[in-house]
Amino acid sequence: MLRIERVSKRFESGTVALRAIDLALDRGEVLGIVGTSGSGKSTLLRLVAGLDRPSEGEVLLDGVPVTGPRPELGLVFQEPRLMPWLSVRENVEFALPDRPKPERRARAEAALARVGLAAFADALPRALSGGMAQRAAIARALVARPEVLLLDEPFSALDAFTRMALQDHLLEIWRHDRPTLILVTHDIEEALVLSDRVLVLRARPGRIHAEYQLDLPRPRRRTDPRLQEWKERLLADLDLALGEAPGEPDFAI
Amino acid sequence: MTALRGSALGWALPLGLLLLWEAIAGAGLVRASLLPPPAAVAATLWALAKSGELAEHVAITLLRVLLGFAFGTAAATALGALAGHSETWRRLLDPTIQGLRNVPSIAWVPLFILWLGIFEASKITLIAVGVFFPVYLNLMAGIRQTDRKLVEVARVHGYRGLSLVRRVLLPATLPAYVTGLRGGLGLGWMFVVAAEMMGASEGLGFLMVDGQQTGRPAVIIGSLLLFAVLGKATDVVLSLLGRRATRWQDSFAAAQEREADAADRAGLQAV
Repeated sequence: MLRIERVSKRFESGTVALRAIDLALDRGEVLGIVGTSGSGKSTLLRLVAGLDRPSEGEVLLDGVPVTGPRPELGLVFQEPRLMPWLSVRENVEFALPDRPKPERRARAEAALARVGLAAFADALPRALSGGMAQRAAIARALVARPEVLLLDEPFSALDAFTRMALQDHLLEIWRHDRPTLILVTHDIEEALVLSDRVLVLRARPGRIHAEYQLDLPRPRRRTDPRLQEWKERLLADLDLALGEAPGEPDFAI
Repeated sequence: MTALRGSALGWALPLGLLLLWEAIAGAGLVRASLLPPPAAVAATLWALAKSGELAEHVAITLLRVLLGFAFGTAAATALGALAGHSETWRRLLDPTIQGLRNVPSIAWVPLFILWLGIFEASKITLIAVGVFFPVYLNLMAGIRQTDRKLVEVARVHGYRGLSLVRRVLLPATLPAYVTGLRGGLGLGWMFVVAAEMMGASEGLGFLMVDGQQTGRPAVIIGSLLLFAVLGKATDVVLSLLGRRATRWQDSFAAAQEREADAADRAGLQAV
């Protein structure tokens, strides 16, 4: 349903952030993207979201080129990015600008209930903890029922415990609605717990280093020895990617 | 209770100064022809008020400030929004406006009088010029400093043009805009005095000049006090409106205000 065809991104500075990326996703698939810093993983996500335009190539959603943000494409950023002047419910309603008020309200409340924030609908964002704010952001991304949910390191600013809880939460939502997910992360375990397929990007220029179909059954346990094996394999890949392009390691074990 | 305590604290200094003034005047340390005692000032104001003269002066001064404030704010809002929102407009407008800002506003007086005459138009224009700059600068800076990340969220959800302005840029800019409005109003009061001292037949500024020329210090001091009271009162109105609109802010001051409000409510319930 989502195709990325020969996509390159060159910045005005001349840096080639991505070179000739080819990728196809099936409906309902979960794709994890890991990579060293500068490998262009966030850039790729922004191109898919329609926030930036590729220098070459095309992103196609059901055969139609993505030329700008679309309601079928939901996006969760690294930070919650809630409007501080809107209540939590109004922040979720923000994603439904064209719907009539009663529908907006009902759908926002349903979305908040799904992420366990029903009791905080009338609170202002400043009253929320980091994990709660990110849950509200996920509710906002989901309320318009996007076909593809793009997540840009969505849990990286959270503590380990909250992060795990939200990963499980995301899986629950995915089991329920089956949206197509693209998860950019620098947390290898996160990619392994969530993804059907993992893409390893390498830097300068950003390109696909390796691609793995994960044969791990669901539901997955973080302590599963097979998951640990995968983790070592991906780490070796990232080391290799780093060896040729030295830079700060940007991934966690 | 806290509300009373809070405003009592604000009154402590003026009342203390009043007592000091009374003591100095009462002890005869300064000649009464230079510094009349508070009672004399109050009596003068009372006499002016009873004759209806004072109300006329206050009304015309207030009207000038409000008209100047309205015109200055309107122009500053339009240009500030343009310059804040569009890089092209900013490059076109901002250097000129920043240049004009460096002209001391009183320096406009001769030109305005020449162009607009000595009556209301030149006065209101001068006040509007004073109001213009803080409002323009704060609005432009506020729009430009709007979090790019929030604008991006709006774009993801299909907001652009007017809906982007209304739903994101406007609320994000409101705190800076209110700051600009309060600064502009303060300058408006400053310039109304300048305008009225330079040629007027009514208004508080005229009353001060009249007091000076007729050797009545009580009139001057009384007018000064009225300026303080009126300026403060209009600022309070503006800041209350602003506080309602920017209640969401997570700043140190906003947190303090919320605490005070909560304490007030608790106090009221206790009473």
